[in-house]
Amino acid sequence: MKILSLIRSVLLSRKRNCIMISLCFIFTTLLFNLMIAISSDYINGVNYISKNRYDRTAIVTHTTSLKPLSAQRISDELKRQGVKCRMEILNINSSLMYSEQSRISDEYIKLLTYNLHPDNLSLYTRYEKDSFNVSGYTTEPSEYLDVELEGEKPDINKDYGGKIPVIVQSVSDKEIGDTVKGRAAQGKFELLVVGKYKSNEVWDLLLSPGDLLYNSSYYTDYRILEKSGCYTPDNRDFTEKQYENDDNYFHEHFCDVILLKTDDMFYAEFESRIRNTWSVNDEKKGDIIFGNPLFGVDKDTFSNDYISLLQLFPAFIAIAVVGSIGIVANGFLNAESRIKAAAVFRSCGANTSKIAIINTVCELVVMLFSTIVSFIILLIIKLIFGLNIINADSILFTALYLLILTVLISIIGNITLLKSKMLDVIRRYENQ
Amino acid sequence: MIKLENVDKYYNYHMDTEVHALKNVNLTINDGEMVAIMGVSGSGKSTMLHILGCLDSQTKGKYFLGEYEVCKYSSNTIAEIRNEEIGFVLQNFGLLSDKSVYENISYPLIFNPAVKYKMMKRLITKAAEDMLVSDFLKKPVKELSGGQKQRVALARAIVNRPNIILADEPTAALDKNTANDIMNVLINLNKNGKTVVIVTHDRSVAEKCNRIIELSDGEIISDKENIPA
Ligand SMILES: Nc1ncnc2c1ncn2[C@@H]1O[C@H](COP(=O)(O)OP(=O)(O)O)[C@@H](O)[C@H]1O
Ligand SMILES: [Mg+2]
Repeated sequence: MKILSLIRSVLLSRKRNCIMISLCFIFTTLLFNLMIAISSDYINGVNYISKNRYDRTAIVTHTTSLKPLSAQRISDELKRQGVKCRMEILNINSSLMYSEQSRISDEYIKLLTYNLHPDNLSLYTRYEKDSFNVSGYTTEPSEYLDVELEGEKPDINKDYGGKIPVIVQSVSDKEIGDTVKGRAAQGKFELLVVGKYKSNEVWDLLLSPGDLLYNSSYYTDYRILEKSGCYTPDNRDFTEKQYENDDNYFHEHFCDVILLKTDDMFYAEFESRIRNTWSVNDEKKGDIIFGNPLFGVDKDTFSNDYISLLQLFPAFIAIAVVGSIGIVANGFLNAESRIKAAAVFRSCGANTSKIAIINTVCELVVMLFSTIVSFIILLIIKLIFGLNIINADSILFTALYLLILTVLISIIGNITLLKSKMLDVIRRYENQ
Repeated sequence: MIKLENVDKYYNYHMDTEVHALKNVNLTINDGEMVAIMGVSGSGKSTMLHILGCLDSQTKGKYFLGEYEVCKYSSNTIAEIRNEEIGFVLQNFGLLSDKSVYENISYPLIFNPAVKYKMMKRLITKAAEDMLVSDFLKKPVKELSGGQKQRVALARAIVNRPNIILADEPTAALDKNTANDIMNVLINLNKNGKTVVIVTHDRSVAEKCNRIIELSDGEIISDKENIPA
């Protein structure tokens, strides 16, 4: 109680010092918090992508095989590779449709689909202009990936008046409600756009069966596609690329697969196992080849948003360091008055440990006070400006930082106090 | 009883800047005495008083404070002894000028484990009344005159009811009338049974004491009884 009252009194006479330290402190904690909040947001974001989203969706990959693909074969092969995951097949079949406006005969088109070659540019252009591709998915991408869908998904139970409900890409010139007429498998079909992806990522990363059909790919539930009758083995052949090698012709079957990672496997491990099966010529690697895994969300794109802030980090750190030095220096500058007080206390019978206690408690209180004030200020800033400069991580880190700083300051303070010879101080007193 | 036996004090012992501040000092001061230590500036008066007040320790020799041989105790025990036995009036008052009179007087009590918080107010008021400073207990020391400051310093020296009052140049910073006042206060304290040792270079001040010890260059050159006029 007595000591407490003394501490109170000492603190009161250090008011200006307190305010100085608080200012330094608030400034430093502000920056510190901002820094940590940003970086932890960033780290959390990356973690979220790596853990949650990739966990859910893991990888979109491309598999190819010389034999026809089925879900069973793919999952057997994955098991054989030791890839522990759940699997969803994204595009198991595609159908090529030809628009009414096409001036190319069906036979010619048929030929095209078997002999498609970029060298023949005139055909290529025609082809691109007048044909489009409908892919049937078993898993609608927005269910698993961070791709938002405008409108709705094609519903197998709903009646669309004989039209095939489809989703278009964000880059498509078609809007929801538009219809597209086309011919495939010797029949006429009409597509009805019911959904549109909001971002281009679907196109860029996932739905790329028709590389040539930019702006003219449509997606629907594979059951709808099959029921519609526009899906034929001939059309399907389009999706089975042709390869020629020295000895023989062969078809390469492919499909896009969403692999759902399970908890007990690292992302890198997962990826490398799939990559291990890359080379088509390597017999040992089984007859299913997994292509480059594609990621649901581009991490680099995500980082870019933070890059400019991250670049400010050295400045933040510098200012925080300067602030901290200021706080410590303040301790030194105030040493004289504290030493004087300590000398008076000692001449009144205080022993070393009591002086150390008083000093330490005072430092602690100053720190605590400034901490609380700076957190309140941070909160106010957060509330008023909606800036995210304070979060659980930053509070934790700041608390740690403050603790270290406080310990440092009180050690310095106590050393200066205890090293100062009381008598010298008293003599200095006398000579004033 | 205070007793110095063959006490030598060196500053910067064994160094180039060595100062032999006290030379083979032998001195006994009995309880209830009123002693003046005189000498020119630099003769070692403060050094001696600091040793007597357990603020400093001798280089050689022995110092007995009552039954304690001071150098045998830890610095914490010495702090306790100082707190209980000695009231020290520093030269230039040695007060914290920002703090109130009340607070300045309270310090010895704060460090005295025998005094409870509740008792403090009464003891401080009493000491302040005795020293005639009870009217400005709330005032910060820096607003007081020199004489008032010295009274506050004295109040602080006596608040713990020590048996020994040591005062270093208690009148040096004061005008003649105020100096007289302060001396009367000290004489009164002595009459109430305290041992009072003051350091002064002023003969008229020393003459008010019962015993005058003269120091020169760290040595006691005379030690006489004195009957105050
Ligand atoms: N801390 C110190 N270091 C070195 N010399 C000192 C110290 N304190 C005092 N002295 C010297 O010791 C001598 C006695 O000083 P002091 O006791 O203060 O004399 P007085 O109080 O009689 O003026 C002086 O020569 C002084 O310079
Ligand atoms: Mg002196």
